[in-house]
Amino acid sequence: MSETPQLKVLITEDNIADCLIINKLVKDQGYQTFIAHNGFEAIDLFVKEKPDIILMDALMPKMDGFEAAKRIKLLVGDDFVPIIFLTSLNDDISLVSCLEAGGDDFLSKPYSSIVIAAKIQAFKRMVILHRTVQTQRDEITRRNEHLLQEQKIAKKVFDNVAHLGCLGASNIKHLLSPMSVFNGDVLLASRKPSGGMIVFLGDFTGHGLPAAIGAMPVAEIFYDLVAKGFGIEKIISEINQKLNTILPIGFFCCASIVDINYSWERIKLWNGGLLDVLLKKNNGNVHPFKSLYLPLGILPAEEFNAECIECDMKVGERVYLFSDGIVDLKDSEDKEFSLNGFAEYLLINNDPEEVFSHILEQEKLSFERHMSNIDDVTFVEIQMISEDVISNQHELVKNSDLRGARDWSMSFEMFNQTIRDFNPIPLMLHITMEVPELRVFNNDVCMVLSELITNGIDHGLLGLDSQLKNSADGFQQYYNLRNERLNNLSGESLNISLRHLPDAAGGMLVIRVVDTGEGFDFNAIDLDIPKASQMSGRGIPLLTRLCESIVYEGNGNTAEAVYRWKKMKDNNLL
Amino acid sequence: MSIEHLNEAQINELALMLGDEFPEFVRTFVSHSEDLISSLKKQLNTKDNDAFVISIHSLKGSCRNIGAELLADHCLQIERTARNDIFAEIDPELVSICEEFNRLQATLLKLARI
Repeated sequence: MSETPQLKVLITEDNIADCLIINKLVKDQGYQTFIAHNGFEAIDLFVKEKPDIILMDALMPKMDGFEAAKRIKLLVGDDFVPIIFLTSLNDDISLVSCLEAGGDDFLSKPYSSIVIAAKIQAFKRMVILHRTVQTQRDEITRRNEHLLQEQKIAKKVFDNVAHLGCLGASNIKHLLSPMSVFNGDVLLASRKPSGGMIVFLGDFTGHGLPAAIGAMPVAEIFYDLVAKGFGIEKIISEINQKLNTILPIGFFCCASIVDINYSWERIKLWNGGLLDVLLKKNNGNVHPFKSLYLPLGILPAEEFNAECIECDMKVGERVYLFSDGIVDLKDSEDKEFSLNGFAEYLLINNDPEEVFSHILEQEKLSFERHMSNIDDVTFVEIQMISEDVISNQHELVKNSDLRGARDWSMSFEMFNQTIRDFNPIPLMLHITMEVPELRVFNNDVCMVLSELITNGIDHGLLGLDSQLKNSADGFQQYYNLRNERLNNLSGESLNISLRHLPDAAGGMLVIRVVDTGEGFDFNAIDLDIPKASQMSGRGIPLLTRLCESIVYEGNGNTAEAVYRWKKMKDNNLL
Repeated sequence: MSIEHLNEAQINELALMLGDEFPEFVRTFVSHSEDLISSLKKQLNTKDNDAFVISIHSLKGSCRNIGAELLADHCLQIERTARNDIFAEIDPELVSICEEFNRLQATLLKLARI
């Protein structure tokens, strides 16, 4: 008794003599007592004194014990206040009425001090237990609310970091169904400064907060590096290295990454640990790309391989990426979704709309029926479209700081090892992005830079023939030759100089690339009449379209492009 | 002490438990029971049947509590008759109850040394 506060017992008994006895019995047990002589008094005292246990006579004048018990139970709500009926009624029907009125037990006359003590003691334990449970429940509820509140705020931050990028593009359809506030899947997409697009689908071990925490640096690195013009291999390597550093052992991120090149109608693809990426060809074939690597975050940088598969993807062809949750889906006959099944379905179905709604339907069905034991499900369909269509879809560019570098020049010279191992484009873009308002034309600048630098290295220094790239086999041959010659490079250099000058309308960026190669006959190329066959050459028609002028000097190993840009009047585009 | 209408063990236990309060308890029991009996007669007279059942039930209960088995049995018999709604069979003067109550009262007062 000493460790818990004194329990209050309300005694309701109309017979004064009986009341005396029971009051004495209860008091002798060390409880505080309150006496009521009928139901009305009992309710009043209940409200006023909040007793812990109630002893209630059944038959009383004015309001009997049944009615009083019912009303008190209504007042009690969530709390547990046991009502023990005092009764000399001992037929079954009367006892049932006691229970129906909310009674928890009986005490029959004549009262036995031992029985009373034992019953009150037992109920006291239950009352204490109930209170403990309630306190803990309230505590859990409070903490849960707190946690949800925190998660909501964290979710906002998360959504800002791991935003969906350019997933709204007309050629992308996607389905993201999070199992909790946070999703174990991460889906990112970003336009490359050079005009293409990279889509990243990651599936972290587990879901919820731990998975989301891993997704944040992935999104950061992804958007940062894509915007700076880094290639897909570099981006994959960086993400792997970051995850390898931050994720505990046993946690990793399965991922499919696709780099879409709209102008070449080609894709580069990396799949580590995820389901096959499917490519639906225009001829009806379905080509699977199996996972060739371990998921991201497992291997240290020196063992990691970010080599991608490259292949043609013509306008109208579609590529499908899935997270593992998709295999938990069940169709209307409760048959499990299988990738093979889906591949077969793709083979016979050429209507993209139908394919997507087919998956949506299965997802909806599965959620309705197996809500609790289903993983995060993410599904993306990307269609190859022509470059003109995609480049008309403006992206929002935030440009808050109008101060910056407007009149400057720089020169950067690369020698053998750097030419082989370093991609200078992100560095160059980083500098050009310091020019306020020029950021909007980032894509153009990146394309001009890429073309000139690629020309300088591939054709100027390595003497490769771009005609090779006209066939899939040729592509492979081209890159094999490229690697071979890069490794044998000696005594060569490539100089890139940039100069920017502002003018009233905007500014002028002069890009000059000089290689130490043998040069080429630039007079042979008709700059004014772009031909399809020249598209894969030095990209000169593209440069001509983007630049005010393009001039070759010397043996053709010096190229100078003048890119002139105008400030955008229409703020909606910014 | 041999008391035919009173359960000896029970009254003794009660006396022991209540200690100094026993005489006060006896007085309360007696006066409350007298009130109940006069209410019973009134309720019979006015045909207030529901109230009659509650009163007889209450008297029976407190008799059981002190071990007054004989009086409790008389009450039980009358309570049953009343619950069966045959009030005509109930003695309007409740002679059996009054007589037994008088004997019980004498015994109790003696026990409590009043």
